[in-house]
Amino acid sequence: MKKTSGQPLAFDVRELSFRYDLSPERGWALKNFHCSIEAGTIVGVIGPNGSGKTSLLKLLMGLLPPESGAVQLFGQDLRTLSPAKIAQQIAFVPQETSQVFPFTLGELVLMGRFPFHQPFDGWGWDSFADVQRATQAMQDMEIESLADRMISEVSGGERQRAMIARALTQDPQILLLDEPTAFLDLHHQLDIARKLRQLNQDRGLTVIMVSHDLNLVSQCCDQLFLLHQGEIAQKGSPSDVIKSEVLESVYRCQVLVDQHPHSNAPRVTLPV
Amino acid sequence: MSTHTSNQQVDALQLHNVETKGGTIAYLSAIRWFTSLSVLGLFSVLIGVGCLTVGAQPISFETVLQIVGMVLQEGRVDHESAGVSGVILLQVRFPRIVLAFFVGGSLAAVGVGLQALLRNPLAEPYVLGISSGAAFGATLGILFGLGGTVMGLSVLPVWAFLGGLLSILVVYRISVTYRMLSVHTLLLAGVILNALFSALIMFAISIADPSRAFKMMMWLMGTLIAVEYSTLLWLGVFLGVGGLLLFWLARPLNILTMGEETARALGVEIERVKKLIFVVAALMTGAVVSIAGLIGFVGMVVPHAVRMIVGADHRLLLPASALVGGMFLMVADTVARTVLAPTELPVGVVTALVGGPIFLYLLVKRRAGVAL
Repeated sequence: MKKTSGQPLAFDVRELSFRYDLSPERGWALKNFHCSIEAGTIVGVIGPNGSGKTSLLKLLMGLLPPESGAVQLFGQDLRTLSPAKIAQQIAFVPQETSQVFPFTLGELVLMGRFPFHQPFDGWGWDSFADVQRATQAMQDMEIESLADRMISEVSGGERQRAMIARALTQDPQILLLDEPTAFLDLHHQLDIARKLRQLNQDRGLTVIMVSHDLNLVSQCCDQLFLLHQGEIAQKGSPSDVIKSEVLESVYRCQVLVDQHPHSNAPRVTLPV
Repeated sequence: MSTHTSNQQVDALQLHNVETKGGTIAYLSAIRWFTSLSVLGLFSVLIGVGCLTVGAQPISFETVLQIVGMVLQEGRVDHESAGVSGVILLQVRFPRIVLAFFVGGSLAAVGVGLQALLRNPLAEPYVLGISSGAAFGATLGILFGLGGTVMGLSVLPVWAFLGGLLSILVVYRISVTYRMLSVHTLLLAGVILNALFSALIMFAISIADPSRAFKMMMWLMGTLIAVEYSTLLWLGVFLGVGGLLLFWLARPLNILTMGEETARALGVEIERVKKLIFVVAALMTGAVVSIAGLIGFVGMVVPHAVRMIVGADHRLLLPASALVGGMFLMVADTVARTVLAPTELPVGVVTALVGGPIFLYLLVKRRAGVAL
């Protein structure tokens, strides 16, 4: 139980175990998992496919029920909090978004205010403050001109920014993202990464993102969790985790790690 | 962060749009909601009165107004002073038209709820086999002589409710099992349920008394009749409460269209919402089917059209679809009782003839795009 700074713990995860199927022959998605995440940090969760990254994200959000162990959110057991209470503190941006009905992006972003309304509040109207909040979030993500467009009419990058705008409309202390840059071109990848850093610096937002992009997390995260078969293989600063011998043991392929010429962050390349 | 401090006093209800640098967020204001529904309500009354004038015996608009005025003045239904036209209007057409409004409105509202829950704009109680499940329940009730009354109310709707609930649970089970649920899988499930329940109903009819078989066949095809005012009253209260419950869930329904996981992450208690929709949809479908039989496609065609005009927000979509569904069925039933007069068509035939082709068109149009 060492605390490196005075920041409170956003998450404290103890002995967390989870599997999708209760049958004994199926493996654990997460096994006896421990971690703690300080408020105000950017954490990257990396690891091979099936190593439990997305499961961890969903367990942190209470979307999946742990088989044993517990997640504490700012010192409170997650199981004692209602979905709305959790959503007032944590916003989740899923990897993919689809919508078959003709909602506008503006309406979708405005849905981020839902946790602050009474449950089953079908009669309610969005208050002026709610709409202002959503508008502000759309401005932050630079998509305010798309407010009247349908989700099917905008590009993948614009859709992803809209989902982040909706998450920001929740006024969260913690933002969870599942591969936020997976379908984006270089320009939009950079854009999202910069936006996340900026939100972290300006508002002290705690960001936890799952990513396959080792160079992205190397540059923008304070702390990395490298997952392997449902357990943490290595954790620490990017320079502690992005090391060729560590990555090679987990990903089982040869990688070349050197230094980024500008940021000095570790850089990964694959010798083919 | 502090660009809007001077606008704080603006009345939130008065404001349709919030100006931004590049665009606006148009959102559902109370004024837009109230105006839209008032217009639709007015149209419903006008169409209802219009339908009163049409029939085997045409009754002029003035006579209708005269009789309505008389009823309103005396506060009761006086058949003697109203004459033949009065009897036709008050005992035959009026209750039937109101019934059509209730049934059409309920089917459209249930359709909207199921579409949001299953994230599928083609979902509908008839197509998914929920109506035929309810019909099977009611048939069983009749067959085993369990269609008695409790406190003056028929218990048939209870059987219909149970049959409808069974169908909903089966359909939902299938849609959960196949997580990448395609439109086609869901529709296929509906087709199979429909075939299964139809076979069971046909079996029940074939062993029933032949004199009742014809009535049952007409009922199965979807027929509106002039019901007692007392029946109309309890039906109205029952369906009205169901409709209000669905409307109460309008905001969660909006969010459920993003998928269950996203909805949960946004703080929706999805299990509670889902259970409520299942039960309310089955109750409303059961009540409708036990009185009017199988009336298809209203729950799909109407919300689709309304969505194109008012948008996808369930706070407006749900009540607007209910009103338009009511209007649609009033007109469809008027067509059903007049095109071949004095012979009457089952109204289910009319809605299927209108809705079937539209359904096929939408299915073909969506074939490429929709996977979820």
